[in-house]
Amino acid sequence: MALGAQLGVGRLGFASAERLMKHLGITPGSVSLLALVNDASHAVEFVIDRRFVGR
Amino acid sequence: MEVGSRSVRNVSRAERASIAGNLPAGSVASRRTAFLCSIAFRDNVYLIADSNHGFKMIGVGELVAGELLGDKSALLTPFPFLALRRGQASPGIKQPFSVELMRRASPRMDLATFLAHHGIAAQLFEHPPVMTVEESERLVPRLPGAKTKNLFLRDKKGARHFLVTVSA
Repeated sequence: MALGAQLGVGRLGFASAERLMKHLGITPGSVSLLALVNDASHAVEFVIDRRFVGR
Repeated sequence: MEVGSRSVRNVSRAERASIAGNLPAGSVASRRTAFLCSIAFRDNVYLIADSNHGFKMIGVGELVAGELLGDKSALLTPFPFLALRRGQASPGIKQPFSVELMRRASPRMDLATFLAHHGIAAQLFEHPPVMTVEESERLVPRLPGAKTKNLFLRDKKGARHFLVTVSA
């Protein structure tokens, strides 16, 4: 099933560089888990592939 | 590509400028030096961060877990996990390394200066700026652990945002 459907939000698209800076405080190419530390208002939901969990 | 390793403290400003000068022009990242560092983040949470323009990749997991359980890893020798854990960090290290400090270390600041200021030893690997996982596989030294691809996505209305981590 597509990710958007699994999350119940329909179609997903890449967010713009502006949104990336606004919510995670970084520029394209720098996206990582660590950037969540900049999301003080908790606007971003974190999704991780199950294969990384509980190994 | 030259891959060197040394303490960040030993990299002079002029040397960093020279490294930056050798990188492709026209990229934000070209003005900064990329390097890896390790940080004791909170009790039981350790990370290895690669700064390119901002923190770029992290590795947590098997190798670090092994090190904490007593396995000796040549790759992790420069990272003072156990010393930090036992409170034997070299003078000048401020502990614990808090989320607040991480927040203040915004992607735009000079990370080398930040690490030096806090007495955090880092191992330096030089590599050209990379924007994609494919480029990082070609240009960045091979590191153990799972490789991930991180996507910043939004729903159609732009009301919800997701940071999605999948296998690269």
